[in-house]
Amino acid sequence: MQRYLLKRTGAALVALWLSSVIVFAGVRALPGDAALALAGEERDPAALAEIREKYGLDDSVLEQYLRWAGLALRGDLGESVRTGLAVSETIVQKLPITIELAALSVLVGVLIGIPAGVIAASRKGKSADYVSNAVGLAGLSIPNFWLGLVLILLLAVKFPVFPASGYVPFLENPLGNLYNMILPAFVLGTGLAAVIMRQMRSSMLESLDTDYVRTARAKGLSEWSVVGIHAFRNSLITVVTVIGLQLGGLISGAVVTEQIFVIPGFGNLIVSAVFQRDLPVIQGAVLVAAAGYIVVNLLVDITYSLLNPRIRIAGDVA
Amino acid sequence: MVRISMLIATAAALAVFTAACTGQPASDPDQPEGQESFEGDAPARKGGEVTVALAEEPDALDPSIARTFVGRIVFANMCEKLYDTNSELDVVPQLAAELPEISEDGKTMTIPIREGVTFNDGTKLDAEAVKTSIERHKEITGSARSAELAPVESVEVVDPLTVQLNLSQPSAPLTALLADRSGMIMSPTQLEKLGDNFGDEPVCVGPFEFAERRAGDAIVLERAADYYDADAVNLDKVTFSIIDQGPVRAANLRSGEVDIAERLDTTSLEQVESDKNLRLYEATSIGYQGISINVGNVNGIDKPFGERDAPIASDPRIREAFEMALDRDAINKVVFNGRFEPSCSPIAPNSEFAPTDLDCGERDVEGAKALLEEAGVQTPVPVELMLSTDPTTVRLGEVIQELAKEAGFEVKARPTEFVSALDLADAGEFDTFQIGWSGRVDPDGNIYDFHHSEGALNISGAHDEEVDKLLESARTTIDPGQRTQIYADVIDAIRERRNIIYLYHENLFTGASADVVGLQYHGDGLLRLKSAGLAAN
Repeated sequence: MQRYLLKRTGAALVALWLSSVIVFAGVRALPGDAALALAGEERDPAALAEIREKYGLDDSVLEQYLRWAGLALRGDLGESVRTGLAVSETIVQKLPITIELAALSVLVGVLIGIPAGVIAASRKGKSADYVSNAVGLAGLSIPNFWLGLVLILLLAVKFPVFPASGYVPFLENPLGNLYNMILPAFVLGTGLAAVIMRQMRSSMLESLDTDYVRTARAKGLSEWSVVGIHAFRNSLITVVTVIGLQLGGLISGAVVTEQIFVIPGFGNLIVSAVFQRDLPVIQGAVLVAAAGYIVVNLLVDITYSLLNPRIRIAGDVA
Repeated sequence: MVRISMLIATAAALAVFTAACTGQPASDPDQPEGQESFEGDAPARKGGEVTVALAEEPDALDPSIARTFVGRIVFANMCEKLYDTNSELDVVPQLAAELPEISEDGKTMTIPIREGVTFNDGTKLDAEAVKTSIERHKEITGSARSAELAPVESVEVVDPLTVQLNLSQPSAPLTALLADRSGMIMSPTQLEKLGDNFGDEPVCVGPFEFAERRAGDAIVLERAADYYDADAVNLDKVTFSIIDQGPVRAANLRSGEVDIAERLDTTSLEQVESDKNLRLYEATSIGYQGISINVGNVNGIDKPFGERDAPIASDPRIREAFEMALDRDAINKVVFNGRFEPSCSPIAPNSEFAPTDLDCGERDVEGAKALLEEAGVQTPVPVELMLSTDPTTVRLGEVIQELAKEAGFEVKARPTEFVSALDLADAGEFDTFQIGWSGRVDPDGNIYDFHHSEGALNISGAHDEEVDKLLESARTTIDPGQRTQIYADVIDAIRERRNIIYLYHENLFTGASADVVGLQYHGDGLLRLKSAGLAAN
């Protein structure tokens, strides 16, 4: 078991290192650098040279990478070329905002997707099934930014029920925070709801077709307890897996949603950093995101191996 | 992202259509065109706060190294300068007590300083503080001011309230530059404390003082207790919120989430105008938009010039035909709903140096065809046009394409993300480039760097001794009348050479809640909130 853990952790560290190298090289491949983005209109060659010198942009890529990596290992992610603010501080401010948005979206997805899937499956071939399917298809097809803008114009401008945008820190004003998050979480959650609905429907149909459901029916159980308890519980397992798989998609969806609703989150940070070629910010943000994914994966692997000893043994042999 | 913003624009257009169908309040015929004060406005009450939506994130809030236009909007409310510009674009004293006294030979500039002024940390403003700031502007690593202040050789403290700038040569643009970031004076106490990190917590003289900055989100200013003209200030707090998508900025203004939104898209204007709770402020930009043509930049911007074999670079007659094929009024109507000012000059019409008798000529397709024939070039003449990726500029590219096609040009549009485009332009890897300039109050700032053979922004690689000499003499000629004449000659020469074909001056549009009174908005596009407030009652 220990060997397995060591091996998985080692692989995770390698993946983390590779992701930092790929991003570093990727940003370098873009035309224009942070100095040019910063100078913008006023890009006097002499001034550009000074900015490049100040941030070491003229050094070789390897030198720049080593310098960055050296500081990063000591927990220092440098400072933003554009704003001069510390990168680690900025990330710590923004990460919880996006995590909250993603969590609320999952909630929206589950609250809409699961009941819709159950109804569609238990009313298969009837109008409720068709309606759920059509709504699900729409949920999958409508892009976030369109839905977001339409909802802003409808529910914030035309009928001012919700704020058009903005963010209030949770600790400052928990209710205000949730109120501001309703529309963005709804927009981001609809796509997930559609995926969950379709997944729920198909696995429910599968469950409803099994012998144990037939037995349950034969025993004379009510339709509610057949569908709602026996079939439902077994279908949930696949849905939980799907939610896990969709988390990555949620984070990238958050990039667009945060732009529309002006939420100062992680996605917003990465997008503007790329346009400003703000390398320390891009590097730091991607490193943290990659670390997040890798840690989650590692935890999943470890959980699997705890649940299923065969994985552990296979890991030891290989 | 590029696709996202285009799609957002489409979505917004759709939404506008929907809104139009459901019936918006009719526009108020009595509402005056955007201007800085509205008749019958209620007086402002003391207190209250406003939120301003900015179109981009400002860079460091350090006057010595700041470069962005949007940063100047924030500075305009917390960092006063030796001089300021009024609504007529005249330079007027701000922290200086009077306009500078310039010696006979033009090489010394004496500036008296306003008495009884303190920085927002209580430090006294004096000649020593002015000297410290100007020297820091010139010398700090990564300075964005060193080129502007290059003529200043030394700063002398004459007495506690007088400084003298010793210049290497007379400099006509210098006073106007001291009405921008070069003239911002920073608290010496705070400079001592923060050094190079002054921008983390800037302290200047101003109606508001810096309170907080949340990266990518907001900058908060609060009323300054120590301000010398504190009685004129109404608001307690100003929050600058960064909202970079145009349609989102407009939607936030309409929903009341923000009180003021700067640089609205021309597509959002009708919604704002037809909303009784909002008002539109309009100002003609002191900048310009045009097409830069690469005539000699083959090795990069600070490298030797060369010959390009692209037809539009090799023969001035082809450039002339290209300009004749364009129709500035049609461009304005089709792309910008007629909201901008068609023009063929780099100097905005509201400048005292603007040429008065400029004839931009009419569109002449036949004349253009004849010129191409005379040049003996094979038609269609290929032209590659690099432009930015926002939907409006792409539309501009399409209109240019259509207009030029009739005269025998085949324009290929090349939408390119902004920083990449700047990189290609500086490297000389472009044929033509649709780009503009946000503008400076002094005409030198709109012309010299783009047309002088050694200009820092001469991406077209133009080089011509005559033009260089004219530009140099305009810099050292102090008399405004003579300067105006020199600039008229400069404009004739560069219009003949056509390394930049000027198309139009933008109008800047800011929307604000009708509750906001006393907001000042001029051609420099800055929002001056000093005496702004919320209407009483």
